[in-house]
Amino acid sequence: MLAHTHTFTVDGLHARHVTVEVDVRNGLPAFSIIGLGDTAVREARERVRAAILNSGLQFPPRRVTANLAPADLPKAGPGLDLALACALLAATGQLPRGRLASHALLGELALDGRVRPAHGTLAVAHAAHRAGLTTLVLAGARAAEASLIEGLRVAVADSLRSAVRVLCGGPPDPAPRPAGAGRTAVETPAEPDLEDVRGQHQAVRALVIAAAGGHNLLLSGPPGTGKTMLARRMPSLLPPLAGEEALEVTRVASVAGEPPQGILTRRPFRAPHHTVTAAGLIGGAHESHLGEVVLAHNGVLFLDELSEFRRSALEALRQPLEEGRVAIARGNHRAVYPARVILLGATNPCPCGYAGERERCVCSHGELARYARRLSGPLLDRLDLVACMYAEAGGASGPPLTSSARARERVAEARERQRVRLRGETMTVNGLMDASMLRRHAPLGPDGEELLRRAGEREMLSPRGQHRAVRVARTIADLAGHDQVGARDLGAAIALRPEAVLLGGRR
Amino acid sequence: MAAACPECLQRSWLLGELIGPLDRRGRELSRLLDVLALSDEELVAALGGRRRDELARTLAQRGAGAFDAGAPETICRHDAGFPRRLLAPWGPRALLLGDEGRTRLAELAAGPVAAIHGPSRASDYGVAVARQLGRGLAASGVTVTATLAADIPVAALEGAGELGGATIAALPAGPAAPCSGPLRALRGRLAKQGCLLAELPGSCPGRVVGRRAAERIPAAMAAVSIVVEAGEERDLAPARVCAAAGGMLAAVPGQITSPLAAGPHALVREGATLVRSVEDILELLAGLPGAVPRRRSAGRSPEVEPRLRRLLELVGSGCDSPERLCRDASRPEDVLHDLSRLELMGLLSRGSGGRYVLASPLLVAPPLRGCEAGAFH
Repeated sequence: MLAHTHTFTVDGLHARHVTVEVDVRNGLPAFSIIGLGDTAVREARERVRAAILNSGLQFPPRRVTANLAPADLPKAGPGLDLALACALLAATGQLPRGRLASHALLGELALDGRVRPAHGTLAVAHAAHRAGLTTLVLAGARAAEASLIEGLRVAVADSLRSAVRVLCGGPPDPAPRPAGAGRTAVETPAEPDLEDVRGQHQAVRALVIAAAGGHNLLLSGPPGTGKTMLARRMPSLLPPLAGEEALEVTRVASVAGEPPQGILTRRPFRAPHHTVTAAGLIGGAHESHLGEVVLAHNGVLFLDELSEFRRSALEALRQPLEEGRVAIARGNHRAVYPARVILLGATNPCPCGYAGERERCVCSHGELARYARRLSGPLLDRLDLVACMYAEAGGASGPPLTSSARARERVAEARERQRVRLRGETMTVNGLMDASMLRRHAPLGPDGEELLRRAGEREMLSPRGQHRAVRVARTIADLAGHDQVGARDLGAAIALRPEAVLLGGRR
Repeated sequence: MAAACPECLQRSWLLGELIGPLDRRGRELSRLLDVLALSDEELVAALGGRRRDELARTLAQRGAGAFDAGAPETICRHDAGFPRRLLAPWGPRALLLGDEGRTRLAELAAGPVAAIHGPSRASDYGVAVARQLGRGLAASGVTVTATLAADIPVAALEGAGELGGATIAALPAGPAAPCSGPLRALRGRLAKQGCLLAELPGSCPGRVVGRRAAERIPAAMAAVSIVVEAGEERDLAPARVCAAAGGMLAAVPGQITSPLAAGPHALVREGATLVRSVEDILELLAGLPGAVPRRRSAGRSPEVEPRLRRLLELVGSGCDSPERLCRDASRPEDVLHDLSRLELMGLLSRGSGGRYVLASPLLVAPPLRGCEAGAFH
């Protein structure tokens, strides 16, 4: 007897259609699975056998062969268990085969027959819908995620018996009430507010510019000046996720196996420790592993103590920062992940931390040169602006410059200006504009051109640095409500160039 | 071509051989001067250690032989062109020079010579002052001499070198010793424009003692020694050498709260002349017999809009961070724009931690009100 079911395996952020074919015939009792499955798939034999028997169903004492088609596509994870079990039941006549053609099955089986949720539910639901399947049968914990895909019926089955009931035309199990059901935004704890930041007004302004234009920002200052505090307030300035962006972020979280929360509207904020490896930062440690830069997609990647990160890890960030994606090739596995982030770096200006604080710095020239070399080069070229923080500029008293709500309003207005101006382009923020877009969307007047020319002549800005300055100037103009980039906007952007801090030291 | 006599060159070789023990025992200049005043034999006996016999033997064998110092030209204290001020017992026996070094040294040392001193790590302010003094003195025809090591002497040589001025740079190591990239470029420029001199041979690494020993050469050679910054007492050692050699001492004042201003202030209290500009130094030099410098333009106060001028004054008064400069500004971007313009005009630069530094501190008078909030707007 032969039967087949439909399921999906997660490949990067996408799900690939897998047809599970089960053949049961006379012979010595055996259960073999073929079709390029990984260890978790091979171990499914024991889970499926135990789950069927513990659910009061019959496991045939015959020769069972399960094929995962297409045979040349690697399959990973335990999410194929439910489809394997149902195909086997259909092949032995315990399930009607007719209904299986329109159902996708996703879930890991426990030995007692319960169905556990699998990673990548949103990607699977999306793929199932595109494959023309009408119903997705899965564990209740991930039902809210799957229900984000309109036009796909989600049937909850918390056990193998429930799945059999659904496939026989019976009612599904009741879906649990998730924190954020369906398309409702998730209730999340309050974010830290800019109102908590006293002093450091220039750094706060730089943070608002970075949020408005999607610029990469470096926070530089002595210990205790509030670099980390400020960076953690960045998400509170960014507009909430909506539309395709929200779906992308939710899909990433789903594939990463993060707790189900419905559709995510808060932008991710990832802050890996400085001992992270290149693989930890960009992913690829194993097939389904996502790096921090991918997990921060459409959000903020905060690298505290930037100069302490391994050189190899920082160098690995060059492609994602430039292209907004990570392409990983490992042996027979290749995947492309989205990785469009705002990079926030925080660093001390020197090894002792007090360069620029009058005579407190005790670093030698050699130490300063070595320290500057850690950040110089290509990564530095991808940082758009710097915020210098000083001990004398902080303090527990005094009024804050702004609140997160007010700053978010300004950011939203500036982003709306960018969205209107960049309509028809592939991006919506100034920070992602390339040279040709800059010519179209941020033309400079004669004064601005002259300013830029002189900055180049005096070697204050490299050619790439000049583009960065114009991008930042465009955002400063957007925040001020100016249609044209003025010389004053450009002058302010030049003052915020990262080279001024990192290469400003002597020798 | 005349060259140093073998006996004097032998001293350079010996210093190179003993650089290790010297570095351990001669890091204080006052003690080092006592050591350097010893004869070759006494030096071997004092510092030779287990190599004492070997060194004494080599000295005896090399006595009349030629010693390859690794320099195109050499000069010793038995030569008429050797600077008179270096004839003290602790002075160098021989100097290793570059191409045409003897001629250049004679020309440059014949005119007014000013030495500029400072600690190994100086403030951005000190560096900017030293560079401006070097530039101004060079423009006035004064020979600038300094050690090619440490922030302030190097800045002074850079400033003088920018105008193609007369410079005598004392190397802290052998003439063929490697040095860092930026210093290597400066050394190349100074070798073409002025005179490089060394006491240690070949590629001998100078270590700390090499720098200390080199500091005594400009200090003794110059008619005026200017201390721009000095923190610890040992930073004042070149000033003590200058005084011992009969030179005049001058000091640049700083903020009374700055540890790096303690040295110059102490010198002023002891009688050194307080200098606030290149003109002050030129006046000192003009008072010396036979040393009237040619007065060229030593720099003029920059012609800028009043608003920019006020910014320069604020930076000069210590209000040097963007945070403080933009405080109370209705549109901080305007202040940042003005700061960028001043950078582009070469009047400001960025120092440690991104603070603004005056490129010509001596041309900007400090404001009357200082750096209080709202001083700019």
